[in-house]
Amino acid sequence: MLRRSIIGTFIFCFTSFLVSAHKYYTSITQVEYNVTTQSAEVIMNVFSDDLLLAISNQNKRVVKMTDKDFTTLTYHYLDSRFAIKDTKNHQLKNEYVGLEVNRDMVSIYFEIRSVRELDMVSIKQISLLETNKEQTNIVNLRSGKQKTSMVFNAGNPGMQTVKFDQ
Amino acid sequence: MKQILFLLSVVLFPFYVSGQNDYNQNQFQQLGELLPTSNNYRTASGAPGHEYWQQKVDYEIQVSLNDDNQSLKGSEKITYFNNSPDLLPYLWIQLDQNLFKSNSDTYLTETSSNNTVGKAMDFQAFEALNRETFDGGFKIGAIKDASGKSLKYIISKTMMRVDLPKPLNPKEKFLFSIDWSYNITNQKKQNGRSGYEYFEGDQNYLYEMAQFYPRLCVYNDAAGWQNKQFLGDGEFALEFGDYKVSITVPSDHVVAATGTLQNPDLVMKKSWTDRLKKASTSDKPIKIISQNEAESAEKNRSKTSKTWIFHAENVRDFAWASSRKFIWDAMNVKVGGKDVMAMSLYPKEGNPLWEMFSTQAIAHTLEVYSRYTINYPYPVAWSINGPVGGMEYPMICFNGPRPETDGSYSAQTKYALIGVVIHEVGHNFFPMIVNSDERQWTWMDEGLNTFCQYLTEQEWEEKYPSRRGEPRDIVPYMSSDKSVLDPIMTNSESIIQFGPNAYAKPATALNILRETVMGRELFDFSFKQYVERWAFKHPEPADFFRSMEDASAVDLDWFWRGWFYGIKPVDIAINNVSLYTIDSGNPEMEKTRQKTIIEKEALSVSEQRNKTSIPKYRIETYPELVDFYTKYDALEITDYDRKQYKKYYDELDQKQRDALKAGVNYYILDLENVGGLVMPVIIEMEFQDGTKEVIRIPAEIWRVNNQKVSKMIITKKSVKQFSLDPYQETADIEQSNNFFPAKTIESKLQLFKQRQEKKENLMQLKRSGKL
Repeated sequence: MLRRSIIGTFIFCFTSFLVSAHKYYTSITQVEYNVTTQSAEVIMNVFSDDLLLAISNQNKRVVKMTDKDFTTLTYHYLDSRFAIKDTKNHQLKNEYVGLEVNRDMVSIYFEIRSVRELDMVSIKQISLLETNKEQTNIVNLRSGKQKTSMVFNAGNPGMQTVKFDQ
Repeated sequence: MKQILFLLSVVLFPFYVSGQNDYNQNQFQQLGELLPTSNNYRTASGAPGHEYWQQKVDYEIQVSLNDDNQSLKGSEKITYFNNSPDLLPYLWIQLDQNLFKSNSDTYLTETSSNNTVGKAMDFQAFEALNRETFDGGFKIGAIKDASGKSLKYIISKTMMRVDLPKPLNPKEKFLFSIDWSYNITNQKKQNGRSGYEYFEGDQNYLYEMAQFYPRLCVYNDAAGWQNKQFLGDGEFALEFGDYKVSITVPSDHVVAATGTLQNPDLVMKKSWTDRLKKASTSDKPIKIISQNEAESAEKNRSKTSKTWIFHAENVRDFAWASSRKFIWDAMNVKVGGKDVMAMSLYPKEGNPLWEMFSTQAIAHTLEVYSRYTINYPYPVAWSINGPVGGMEYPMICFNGPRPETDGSYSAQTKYALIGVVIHEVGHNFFPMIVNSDERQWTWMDEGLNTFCQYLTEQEWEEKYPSRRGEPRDIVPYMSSDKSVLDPIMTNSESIIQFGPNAYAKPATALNILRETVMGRELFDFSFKQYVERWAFKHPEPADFFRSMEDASAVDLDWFWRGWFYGIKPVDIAINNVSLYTIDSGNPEMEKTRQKTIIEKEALSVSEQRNKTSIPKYRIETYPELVDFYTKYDALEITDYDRKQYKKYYDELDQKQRDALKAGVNYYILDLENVGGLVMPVIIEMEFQDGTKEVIRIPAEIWRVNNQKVSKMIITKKSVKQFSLDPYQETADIEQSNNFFPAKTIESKLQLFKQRQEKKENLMQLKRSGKL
């Protein structure tokens, strides 16, 4: 019962700031392998109102972008929802680089260090899936000239593995 | 190889899966066979034909709002003018409120999440519970003809068919009436494009009312009845007509609506009409109702009611808003010598943001849009703050952004408000005036409007942070895998990634068309031409595509094919550059040069070893074997060569002699269209002396070979660096193959890190008092 009332309150709190007659729920995450720094570079682009709703739910209080701990909570939340595993099925550490707010989008930067290659990798991106059933997360993965996309949504929330041809 | 090519072409043309690999797959193949055949209603040039017709529907509506139980009761008299050449046995009517019936297709066809997503179930359970307790949808009462006889009708989900007593002849009209009522949705809970908002603090309601009456579907030459069911995304299109609407609300409410108020003296305080008069000549917003007045009105609970009467001519819909909470400001805007009132209504919760920006943003939109399209033809333009995030109707729109409760607001809230007001007021032009079929094509209004929104935002302030329009901003979307992409030409209800597909991509495509493909002058004229042709009419996609070509003489079939019918991204690569210098023809120079090249060539292993291993060649033993060819040296300079060169040189004109002297460089660039979307090629050359030059090659460079082309560029100075798309104006998704010699591209994350470092340093400097 408590859960329901919390969610109810949040629905009242967050007005969609979308410049359109529609509300839609999509995030795009770019994962790119940087040979020079031997790291996987991750940029997540999410709508700020969706993100705020998600971190508010996770922390059971209304979180605003102006809050001092907004950055920490954002990182904590996304770290729990986005995962990369290497060929040996080891989960790699998401190192938080920073975030940028541009209009109604938040771009969050992560770096995953000491990655030898990104030829076979497993990824999970289930951010915001719990806040809206229409949420779709697209992950664009790139290693050298090889590219692929993955789609995560309510019907498809599991880890996905990609193997690039050598 | 053939197979690979075929596979590739299927991907390139997902709409041409013909099973034949000899079909013309060239990106420059004309669009003719994809577009409808032109006729007397729509010409091949994209204009309305000489027999173009459209229906007209006039409404006389009376509604009364029940503020106690948030419901609406109404009756309407409809006059339907059959201007078509067709006999109509029945009329189709939209019942959009039926979206909120607990058994609507919208709810039934929602795809569900599964248990693995944890908390989602709670949310869904909550929502489902809410739906079952809410008695939504239109309750249709009597439907009668002019003589009072009941008409037969059937409701099919969000559509209602009214059967006529006898088929309606061309050029005849039919009068009938409908009574209805419905429970108004709580917008904050149930979403949708209208509804009420309840304010706990002062216990008042604010109503944004739209899609509130049964509305006639469009019947036209291109689609017949536009009676595709409403699932929630494809908005709507209606016929143009005249409206007389009487709205009965509590006496202390203020009402804004489409059209002009007919009885101001009966419903408004004298002080308001006085201030309105003042505002009608003011070039700055003036308060009609101040915040103090609005806040004291919040405490009223009037038991009486008043009826506000509005008239609107030649509009495609009608919407209104009502509350006792409203603050009201207004200003005059001159559009093409005509006076328009730009006005905003907002509760105190919208301030101080709203009083500062809303009305100014309306005025700005009307001015800029009128320049790029047609002069705003209506007498008023409203922006209302309420529960709806952003939604448009003729002359009135609903916009959501508000500051924090302490009155402070973030930069993104500020720009969200200005942006949404521009966008929604802009919708007056697309689709309220240029009346495209939104239920089929979201891009025709959202795409064109978002493009104009970008132009308008950029005139608000320098470097206005527009969300959509810049080619580089569409790159993440365009680089996605094809499994998550749809062509822009996809039905409104089936689009994956609605925002990027129907708003951002077409807006960006039009910006690229304007800046890179056509040029501003040709584009602006053609775009305006399209709007002039289709203002107050029903255009189809082909009418837009054809008009843009018709008015500019630019063949854009490849552009529409790539950007609107396809999903391939732009990725042009510069694979190699070969340098050739000019053959002077001078034997002294050329033969010597060739000689040195040959001499430089390393001897083969056999040649090297033979030098010592063969003691004597046979021709040395038998000198009689030596003839002319044994001795002939092709690279020896002969008198004949010298004579020939003199003759050649004497025939050159001065310009050619100068070119010879200057030693011109011939570069051959090998270009590859990796992405598949053909685009102009923009090449920047940085010379050894540091100067730069940009060459712009039209997309037609790819017209014979869509995949690979070589281009010769002649320069006097030698080139240090070739760069493709130096200003990032084509949405090329891959920067790393844009340079020759190749350049390392700093990753976005690394660039971000540098920006961060710079920011931190600036802050430290500031703290230490050095900045």
